[in-house]
Amino acid sequence: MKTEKTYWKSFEEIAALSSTPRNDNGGDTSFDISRRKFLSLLGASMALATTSCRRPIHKIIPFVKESEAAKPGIAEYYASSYPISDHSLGVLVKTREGRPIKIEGNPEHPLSLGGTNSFVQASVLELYDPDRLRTPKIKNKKVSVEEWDYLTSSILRHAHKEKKVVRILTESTGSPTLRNTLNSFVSQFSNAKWYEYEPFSHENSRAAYKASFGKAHKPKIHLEKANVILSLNSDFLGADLSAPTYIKNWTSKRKVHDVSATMSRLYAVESRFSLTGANADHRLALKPSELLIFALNLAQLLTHDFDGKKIPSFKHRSSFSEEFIKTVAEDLASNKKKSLVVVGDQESEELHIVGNFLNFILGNYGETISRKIQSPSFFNGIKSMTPLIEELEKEKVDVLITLGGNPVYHLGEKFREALSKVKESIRVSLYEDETAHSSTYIAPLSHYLESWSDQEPETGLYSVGQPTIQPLYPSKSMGEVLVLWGAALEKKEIDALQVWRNAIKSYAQKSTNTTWKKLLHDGVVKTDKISPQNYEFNMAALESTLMLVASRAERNDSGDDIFELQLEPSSKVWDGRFANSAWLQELPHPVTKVTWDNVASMSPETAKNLNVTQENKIEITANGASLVLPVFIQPGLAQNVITTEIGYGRTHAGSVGSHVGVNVFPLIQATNIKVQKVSGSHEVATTQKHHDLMGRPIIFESTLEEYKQEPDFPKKQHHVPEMHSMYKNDHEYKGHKWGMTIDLNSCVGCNGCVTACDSENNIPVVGKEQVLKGREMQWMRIDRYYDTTNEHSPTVLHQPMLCQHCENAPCENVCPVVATTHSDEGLNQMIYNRCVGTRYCANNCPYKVRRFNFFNFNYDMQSPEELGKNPDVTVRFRGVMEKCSFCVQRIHDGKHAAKMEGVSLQDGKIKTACQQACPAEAIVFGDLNDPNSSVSKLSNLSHGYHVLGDLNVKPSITYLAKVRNYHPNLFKFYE
Amino acid sequence: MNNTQTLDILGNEPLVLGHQTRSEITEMVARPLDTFPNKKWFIAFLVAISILAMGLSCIGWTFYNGIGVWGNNNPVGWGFDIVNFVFWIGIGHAGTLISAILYLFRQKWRCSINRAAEAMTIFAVMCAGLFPLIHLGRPWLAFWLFPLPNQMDLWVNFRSPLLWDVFAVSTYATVSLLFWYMGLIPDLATLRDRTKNKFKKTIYAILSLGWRGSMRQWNHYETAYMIFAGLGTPLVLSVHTIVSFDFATSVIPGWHATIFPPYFVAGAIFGGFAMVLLLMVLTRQFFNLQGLITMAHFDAMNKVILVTSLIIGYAYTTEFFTAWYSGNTFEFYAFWNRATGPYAWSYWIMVSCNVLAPQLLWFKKFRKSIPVMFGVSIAVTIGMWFERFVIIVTSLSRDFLPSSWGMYIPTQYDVGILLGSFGLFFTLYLLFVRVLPVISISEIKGIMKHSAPVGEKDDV
Repeated sequence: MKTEKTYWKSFEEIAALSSTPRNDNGGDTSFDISRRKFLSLLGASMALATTSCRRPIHKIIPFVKESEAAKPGIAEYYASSYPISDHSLGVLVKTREGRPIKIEGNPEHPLSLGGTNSFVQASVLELYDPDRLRTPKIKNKKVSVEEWDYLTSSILRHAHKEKKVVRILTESTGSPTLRNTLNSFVSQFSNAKWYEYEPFSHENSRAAYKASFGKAHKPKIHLEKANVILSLNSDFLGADLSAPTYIKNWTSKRKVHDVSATMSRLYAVESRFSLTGANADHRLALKPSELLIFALNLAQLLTHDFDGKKIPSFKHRSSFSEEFIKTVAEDLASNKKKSLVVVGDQESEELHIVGNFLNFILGNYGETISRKIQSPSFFNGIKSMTPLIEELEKEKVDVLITLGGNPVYHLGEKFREALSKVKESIRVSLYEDETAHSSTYIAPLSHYLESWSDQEPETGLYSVGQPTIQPLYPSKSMGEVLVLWGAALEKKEIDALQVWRNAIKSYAQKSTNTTWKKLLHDGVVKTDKISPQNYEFNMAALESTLMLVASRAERNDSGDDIFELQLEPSSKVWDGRFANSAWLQELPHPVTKVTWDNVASMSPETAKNLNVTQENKIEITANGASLVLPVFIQPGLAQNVITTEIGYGRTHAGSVGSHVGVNVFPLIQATNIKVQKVSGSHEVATTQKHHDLMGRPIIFESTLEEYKQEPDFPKKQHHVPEMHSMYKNDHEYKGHKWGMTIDLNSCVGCNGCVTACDSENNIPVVGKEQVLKGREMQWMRIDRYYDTTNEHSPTVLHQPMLCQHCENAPCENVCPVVATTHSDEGLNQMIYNRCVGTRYCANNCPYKVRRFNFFNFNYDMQSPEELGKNPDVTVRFRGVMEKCSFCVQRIHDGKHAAKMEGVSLQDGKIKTACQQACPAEAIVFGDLNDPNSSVSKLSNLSHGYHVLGDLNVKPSITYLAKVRNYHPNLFKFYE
Repeated sequence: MNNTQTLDILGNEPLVLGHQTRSEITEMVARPLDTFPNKKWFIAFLVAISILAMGLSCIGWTFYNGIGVWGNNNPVGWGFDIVNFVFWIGIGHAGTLISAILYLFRQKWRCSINRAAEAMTIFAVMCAGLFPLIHLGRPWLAFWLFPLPNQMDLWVNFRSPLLWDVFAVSTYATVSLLFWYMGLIPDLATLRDRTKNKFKKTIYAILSLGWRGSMRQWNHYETAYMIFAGLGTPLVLSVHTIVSFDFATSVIPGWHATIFPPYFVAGAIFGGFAMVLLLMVLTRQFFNLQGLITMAHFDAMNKVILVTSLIIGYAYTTEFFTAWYSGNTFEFYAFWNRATGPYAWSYWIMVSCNVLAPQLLWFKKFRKSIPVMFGVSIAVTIGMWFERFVIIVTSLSRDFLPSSWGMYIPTQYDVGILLGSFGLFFTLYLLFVRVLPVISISEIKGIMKHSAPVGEKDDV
């Protein structure tokens, strides 16, 4: 078809250009200038030298035929999918002049529905990371792409011919085509195997499903259908790759807009302080060893189906915990088929079995747990790696290809030694990381924004990824490399990109009404030929668990005075792969608010036991490894539990991420830890040092019951005096009047908005030193307060805080040079050009949301970082104040678009970056002058309030007060 | 010379001791200007100018890198920069007060100290004026703070107290300078007539504006002096009132207070007098002016210090009372935090230096003891610097949202610039004592014994 042809014109260019490697731009050092070229260059440089006192003349030449994409000044969006591990998220990539500059959630994607998280947002920074591997190298020497391709292909041809042992180790992938490609590549050899490895896998969950139901997989959970949810050390709202989907689903049952509202109730039982725990209605902190006993005791309260005598009874430490377990049992029992027990991915197989059992007896299969649809999970954990490690240690492997991942960092020194013994080690990766440093042949991997991909985020749902920029370096995607090698084995010439494009194109045939163009536009395609599974619990699985618990109880190694370690994946750098992302490193941890570090979190009592205080150091010894971590005291952890994040302490992450924090991977399987205080101290950079609301009118909260009695409780709790002004009338906003609502009940504090704002508004990263001084630049922050009314379990309040765009703004009148003004549409504006930097406005801001450029924080920007900046937003110089602009560039874009279409601006057309990223839809932006806009409706809700309302600064942001859904039995603990 | 001391009929001590003739007075004050500076002066000057150079290099480093080299942060946007500004502006108050208000009140004892006090005022205002310029994020655009006509029709914000500051301080600096210069004219003529150095003579001749000391000239002079005193008097009150508006008109608890204008003015007089006292003690000692700057002067100044200290103490108490009585949680916490929070040490330094130390001056013995008054003045100077630190830093470090609270820790550049401002002040003062008479020769002659016809003692 004609339309198709035109549409893909730009792509042909991509294909054509990528097939001829660009060794000139790739930093190739080979000096291949002929005599003739040399002389012409010499002449040219002479000519330039003589005219160098004026700017070079650039001619503006119009397009003869305008390119479909890359219209100057106009943003183009491409549907794609963001892969991480075996998961993926549907995204829209915003490009300007052919450069991806911002990632948005794909609203067409049924899982993300437009929501994103920090990882996705930060992926654009990863694309332009100057530390990415830029050229192929052999034994640490730069080589040309052709040479690398030739040498690696001949190694593989040789291995093929000689029937050598070839092993491929990849990061896990949910891409069906890549999995097929890997399998068919492996099958070309007589002795080749493919292993995939992720440090955070669903291995235990799969094993538990295998034992419980005979199927090693992971069915999809429906948080939106559950009335009562019990989380057993799961962090589905936080450090979880599916968190955007889970947040979306969970918060859909937490919205309170009128007195007829219902809410789901979340109980969290956990041995760390996760974001899920922070958002739970009731939370119980346990030691890691107690989780299983708790779960079994709970099962015992619910059913007599199994022999409970073998279970040691759960030792209650407080009246709260006694009441808690009874209440959970009662609540679950009365919500059969509408409840859900979620077990943390990294928990033991046994706990997963008990979780499955609980869900089974509660009748949740087919209701809150899908019988039809499974979330992606593969055999990709440490257990899957055991045979490979053994082979490597015995030096049986001739050729080891590592694609992506970073096994040397994850698996440690032992793996590094084993890898260095392999004769031919080939690596394709994004960075020259720890594994690349131990490999002989290394080549750059294409970023997902530079390559074709496909994903199966759940059964029957396919999403495709398309390149949005030509590879910046002579890199290839994993699929391309494999296709090229596969062809080389058969001595064929092949266009790898074309192969991949065709594979993606084949998805268009999956559904009858999907054309190739529609597929690319939507980014997703759904098939509905899925047959339901049958889940019948196998009691034998529980028996073996009971045996194990009984034997453990005899050993009695879980006393109160024994220190236990709880590790968790980092919500910022995940397994360390994002260590070089400055945005993510500087992102405050959602609960501790720590940046640029992983810390040994412990309760004040534990610290007392260890005789340590904040920022002392402790040494944790286990498994023959000992690590020194800074102490961070945090309420809400069980006694003698130490928790820390995995993913830090990279040695070859790049200029940002190397040697940040401590690598705790050596302790990942540790039991019987020894902890002792060591000398020295370590400064921890947190963005918040005070955690108490002090009874101030900042956040109002109530329970669902009380809300129904008194829907306007914030107004009752806080008196806002009427303002008596010298001036008769308020300013009249004739056109638009922009405003925002933030629903504290929906906000889980995931930080997605913060990173989205970083990306949209070119916000500089300042580094640990400056965060320590309190000079972080993020325009948006999530304030976190602890409420310790319940002495057994502190509750947490999150509050996104950004410029409130006050109508009666204290910052505006104090600026001596009128550099901050109020717009006709209610925006509080910063005029960077006019700002001289008195900082008076920041001092006078009651919300402390203004940010000052104490240095030129963009001074050390390295190429190609500048390509990722949003061209619609000024990059600020030193000495200038800045703050949230309500994404004024987006407001103008929206207004222009409406004007071009000749229609009035519709509600919801303009979305701020934070709003767009928010998976919980907690942030709503719009025109307050339009009575039908959702922001107007939400602002007028009875439980809407203004932070520090009595100051009468008249903020444009209305917060919807927090409503908790306490169980009546437990209510007394929170009074 | 104490044996010559006799009290007049009202029981006041004489303000000029000894039996000097008029020419001897002129000689006493003007002689140092004719001689080559001695070793002591050179040592002092070297120390002062070295500190100034160090301060300037700190400022240079700040200009090169940005405000980030200081300790300022979010939430504490103003640190030593504005603390120093308010401190120096406060110091600058005593001069005009002595020369203008005391003149209008016919306080004769002002005559031997007004010259030095006015000079001090000008130097202090110079030090103060430095800070609003260097504290800017983009100091090269400092001229934007002035309402300069430009092609873009950009105008300054007349609603901003910082702009009022610009006007208040520049007006004050101008009036103080003119007032000082006017008072200098008869003395400059004296110097012109005395000196044999041609170069000096030319300069003094130009500066003395043809003063001949005729009756007519004296008549004009006295009238103009009176007008200037009248103009200067409201300025004494207005400048620090407006400086206090920087804080009082804001919304920050601890800043937003109606008591600020009188409290700041009293504090400024208090701190200014302490600085005058320090300088006078030193000047008297260095130039052997015991006959002209007497214990009676010190006694009077100490009384002013004592009274203003009581006003300050009262203001501190009132602030606390109001904070408690208002029932405003933010306000009360701000003050509670001052006294018990992480910066409590600075609050208690302030209270001990400003309220407790001056209580010694209730006793005449201490009011006339050079070591005690010197010690008290140093304490007051430190205390007044900390008062501004407490107001600015402590209030900003903990305002409305506990999530945004943070500590301010000054860096070596902050300290360097603070010391540098003292270097600038003393460098200028040391230059002043070398080129201009530190005591008003013409005025001191007016209060000598037998200077006035009998029966008209109170006429100046």
